[in-house]
Amino acid sequence: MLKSKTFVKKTRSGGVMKIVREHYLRDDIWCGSEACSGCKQESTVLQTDACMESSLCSYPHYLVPDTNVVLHQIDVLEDPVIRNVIILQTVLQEVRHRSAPVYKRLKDVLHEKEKHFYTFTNEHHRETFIDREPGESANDRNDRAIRVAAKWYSQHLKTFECDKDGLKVVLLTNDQGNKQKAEESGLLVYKCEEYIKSLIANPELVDRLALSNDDKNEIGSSKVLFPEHLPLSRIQAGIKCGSFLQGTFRASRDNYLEATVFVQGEGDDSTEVLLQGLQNLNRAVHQDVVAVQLLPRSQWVAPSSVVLQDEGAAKDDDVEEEEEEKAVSWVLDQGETQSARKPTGKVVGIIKRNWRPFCGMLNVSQIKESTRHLFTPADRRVPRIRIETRQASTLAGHRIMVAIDGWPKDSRYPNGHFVRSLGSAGEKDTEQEVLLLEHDVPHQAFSQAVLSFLPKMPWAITPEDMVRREDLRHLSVCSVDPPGCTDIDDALHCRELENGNLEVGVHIADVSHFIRPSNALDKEAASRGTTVYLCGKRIDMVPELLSSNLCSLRSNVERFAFSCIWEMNHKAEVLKTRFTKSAINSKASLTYAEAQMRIDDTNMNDEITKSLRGLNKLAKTLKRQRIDKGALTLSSLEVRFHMDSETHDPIDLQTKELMETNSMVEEFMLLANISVAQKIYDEFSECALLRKHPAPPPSNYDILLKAAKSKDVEIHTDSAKALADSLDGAKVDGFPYFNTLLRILATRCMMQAVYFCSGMDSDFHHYGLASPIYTHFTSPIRRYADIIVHRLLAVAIGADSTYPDLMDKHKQSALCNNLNYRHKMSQYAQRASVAFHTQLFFKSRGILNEEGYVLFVRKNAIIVLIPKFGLEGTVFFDTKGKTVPNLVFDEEGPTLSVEQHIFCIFDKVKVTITLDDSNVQHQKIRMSLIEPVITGVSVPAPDAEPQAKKLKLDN
Amino acid sequence: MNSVAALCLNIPDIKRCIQTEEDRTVTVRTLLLLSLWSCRSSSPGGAFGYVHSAADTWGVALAVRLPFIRSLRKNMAGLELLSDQGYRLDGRKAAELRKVQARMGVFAQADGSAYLEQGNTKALAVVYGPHEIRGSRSRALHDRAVINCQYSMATFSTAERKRRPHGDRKSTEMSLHLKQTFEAAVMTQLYPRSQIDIYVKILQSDGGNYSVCVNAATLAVIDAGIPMRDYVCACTVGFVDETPLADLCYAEESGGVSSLALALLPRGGQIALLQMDARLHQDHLEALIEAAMTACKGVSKVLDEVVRQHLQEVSSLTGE
Repeated sequence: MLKSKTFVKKTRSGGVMKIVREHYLRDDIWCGSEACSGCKQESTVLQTDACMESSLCSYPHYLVPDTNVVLHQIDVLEDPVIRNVIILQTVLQEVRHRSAPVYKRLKDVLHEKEKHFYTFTNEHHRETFIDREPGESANDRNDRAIRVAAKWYSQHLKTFECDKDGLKVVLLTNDQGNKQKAEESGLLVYKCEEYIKSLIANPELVDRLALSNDDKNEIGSSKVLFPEHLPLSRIQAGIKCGSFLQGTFRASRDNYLEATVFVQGEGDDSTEVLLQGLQNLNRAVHQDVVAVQLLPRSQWVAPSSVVLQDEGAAKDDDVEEEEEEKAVSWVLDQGETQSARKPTGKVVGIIKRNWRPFCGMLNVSQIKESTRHLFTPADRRVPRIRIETRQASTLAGHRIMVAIDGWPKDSRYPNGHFVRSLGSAGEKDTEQEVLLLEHDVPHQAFSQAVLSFLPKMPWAITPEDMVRREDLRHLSVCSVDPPGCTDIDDALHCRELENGNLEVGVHIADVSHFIRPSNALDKEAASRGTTVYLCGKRIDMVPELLSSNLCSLRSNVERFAFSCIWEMNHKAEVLKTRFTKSAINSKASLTYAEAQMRIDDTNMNDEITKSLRGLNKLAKTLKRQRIDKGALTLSSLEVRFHMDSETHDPIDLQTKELMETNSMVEEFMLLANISVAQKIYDEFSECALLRKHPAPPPSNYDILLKAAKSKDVEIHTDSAKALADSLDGAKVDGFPYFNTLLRILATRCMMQAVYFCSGMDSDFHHYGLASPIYTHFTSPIRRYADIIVHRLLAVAIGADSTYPDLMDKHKQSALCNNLNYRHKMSQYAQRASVAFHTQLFFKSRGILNEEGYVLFVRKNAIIVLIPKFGLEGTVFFDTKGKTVPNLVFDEEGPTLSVEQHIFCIFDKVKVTITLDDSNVQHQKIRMSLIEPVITGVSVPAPDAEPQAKKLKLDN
Repeated sequence: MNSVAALCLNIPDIKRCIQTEEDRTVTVRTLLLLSLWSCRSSSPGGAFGYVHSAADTWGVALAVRLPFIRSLRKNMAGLELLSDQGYRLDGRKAAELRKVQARMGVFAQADGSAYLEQGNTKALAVVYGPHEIRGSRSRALHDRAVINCQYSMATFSTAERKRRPHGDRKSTEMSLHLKQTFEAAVMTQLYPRSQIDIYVKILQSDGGNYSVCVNAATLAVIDAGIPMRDYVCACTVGFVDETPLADLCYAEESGGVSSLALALLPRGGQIALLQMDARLHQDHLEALIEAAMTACKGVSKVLDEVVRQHLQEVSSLTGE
């Protein structure tokens, strides 16, 4: 093995330092081709018959893309059609430097066996390494390195190919100069576009091509629409001296000409800068990090309250512009009349783009033959994107994904390319897909690698398994869950001991027995973080074999469990706590209603019922103790859909009912979680995974206090206990629903509970549960946090051993961040799914008249809650095309007087509910007022009869 | 000789004396083996004579606190230390050493001297002695020689020129480690009441200073004609992506790798010194020590060649 040395000198900015590093060149780096007889490689990646049918290259060939091709055309490279590609180390390193997301995607592609992508370590190969020549820029040197490597490959293959079928290497580059030089040195070289267009079998790939710089020039007119962005160096200088501000760009949902930039100051001091007009927005897209410059105070404006949607079809840019100018001036006029002006500014540069593929729909161009179309994203905050496609007619009416490639200064819209189609709009599957993608929920089927770590079926408990487990199969354990639940992760038992005390056991599915640390299954579960429950669909965190079978504590089968067993006296005081891995055999899996029935039915006296009664009694005591300590009972309305068994369309909507047994199970889960949290924290003070719920800042309560005051009820928010007590005492005669409404409002004031690693934080308090320490232990099938807690607890009781990542608090902390993110997104996805099904429901029901309560009062609208459906909707008073009634908004109340009527929070109103499907992209529920009757505002109650008819038809 | 037997520490023995924390991560601060003397007088402590000798160095290394290591980890998050293809920053594979080049007898005035390059780390070692005790006579030992080590770094040895005062904590610690390494290897009992001086200077530093010093000093001691049990070879190993990397360069050392330094008497596989200042999970320790031992054996082959070549040159010069 030859080792030779060259010195690579590097200087770093900020105190120039000379760094000398060794650079070894080797001659044992193989070419990775199956056809090669010269290399002594053990495994090959590149195939001999590398056939991608192309009209340009009729011979088998390997592709060598340069850095820019990889960076911009990763969508194309990811396509299964593209195979046998050589990624040079130079390219890989440059990509790593320039774009982390692309690097990640490239790595994923490299790992995929079927893609036959090979990484050639050209920088360390004796024959392909080149030194930087004097006067040569780093980029030029890298381009040359790529050419040298490509040259080497073609010669190497010519020399060593065994069966001489003319395997060649094709360099892909979009750089004119590079291409020319490559041609001079006798290489086969094509532009990426040329090559992709020449692929015979796959014309649709062309749509995925990102537009390169030259193409953009063709599209946009030569007229410059936007001011130039400043270079990063000037932006940084500007931020340093305070003339620019850095912040996150947030486009307005309602007005496409308006946005705010959220500038994070030191501490809590953060400001918002208002941006108005296309010029000032200057091509920033929602969520980008931008630099803004404040305008002089005289040009400050107030945010407009106008709803403006960018709705023009793909007209000529000029025409549109004129219209816009009108719109802007109108907005500005509005602003002048109001006194509430805000700091206003303009975008001078983009610090970091945060583009991702967007879901949305295509607006097909009116010109039939045109290949350029506008794409409207589902998220209204994202501007429309111009894409080029030949399949417009097939894509119309479909939900598609589009990625932005760039936004040149002479183009009204950003340019993008088509990524993939999700299916036709309005269909349940498509909408679900959109919902999952928009909320970043990983929902692909589990890969073979993941499934390979599942236990082999048929599975049974072996004697070896029982060595470290306690045999609790004789106990009469039962589980209580919602109806239709197949992933049962908890079961309970309670029995009287000889000394008169009670033994209570909580048995949790032993998922960590099946999911071993750091294998593919574990990594997948950690990345998914949580199971997502949508209406009628569950996106599992672990494969179904585990979630619904081997881990699920179903009745009358033997299952592994992690048990937490207490000895309690009849006052529900815990005398002893014990944790053990065990084997159980659940005697019954009940629903909440069934369990309730057993408890109430005095004729039943079997062991399970007795056990349930004991549990119920203890739970009540526990709950009282907890509430005395200041735990909050909050309320939010949750709805259940009754689904049609065949079409899976929602038939009926019902708010979830809470029974005693619900709270019985909950109490013991809380107790188990707290006991476990204490145990793992005692054992691992640095790396215990815990959950905290921070106390909300006092200002959060403003809306609650005001609302309560309007009904002459005093709410104290000094502490959780005071809040809980005053919520309990809040009652208004003749208004039984008042208390629930108040609790709903209180829920909205709360902060989000989060996972964290005990070594990284000092505040452990859980505000809502009034517990000094808390964690999640009881649902390992559907939450990854619980699996980690199981592993920690297993180590703590000596049932398992640790592994490195478990003890690393930085890795734990990173894991917590992912779990928190996934948890939040899964909640959003759940809500969005409920909203979609609500729409489906109202679509099938036609028009409905319902009673509701005013939940919030806004300047031009009231928000109404309909308890029957748990549905919230907005009643606008200034709908387009109608005369606006006389509106007076009082901030203090808050109240809104419309003509003569005054609306306060908690007022009872009657509304009619319809589905507004004028916009396919954003269907929504529309509510309009029936009672109280206000002339010019309320609508006459529609006849209820057509609805009854419709129902009959449906049935 | 029973002392040699006592020196034979195998991995299970080491594990027993490493402090294991409750979460099964270990921090081997400095574990060293015993000079000959402490082995011989090991009658009460039996095979565990080294425990007390290790104990006094715990204190020294404890000063290297964990936050320091953490700050390093943050510093250089940008480097990919081991690529998917299995190549390191400088193109080596995980188990490959840097190029080792050495010359013996570079100075005429000293009793023994050697110059050794391990990649870009370059060291000069000089040995005087054995000679009678200089300075206070009370330091003399009646049954063996005293070994006196001094480690220093040249002002021009790093990218930034820096004055390095004598006797700062880092070099004192390094001197101490060198001393203890050579007490285990040199047959000091042959020279009672005398002294052997070993001076090592780092001329250019690029990671693995301790190991390069040990390797250079070994050659110098051999050049001085002082009998040793075996070559002492040292090597650092780091742990990245579940893979041990042999012979770390500076970029790797500062890239937040938990590294371990090991000095070995290769023929018998005895460990003369083991040092690690980072936290590591116990499961990985064995693999890491294995890799370090393999690397040390690689170094010993090179040193052996250098010695043989040197002998040939010297003997041809003297006409034999």
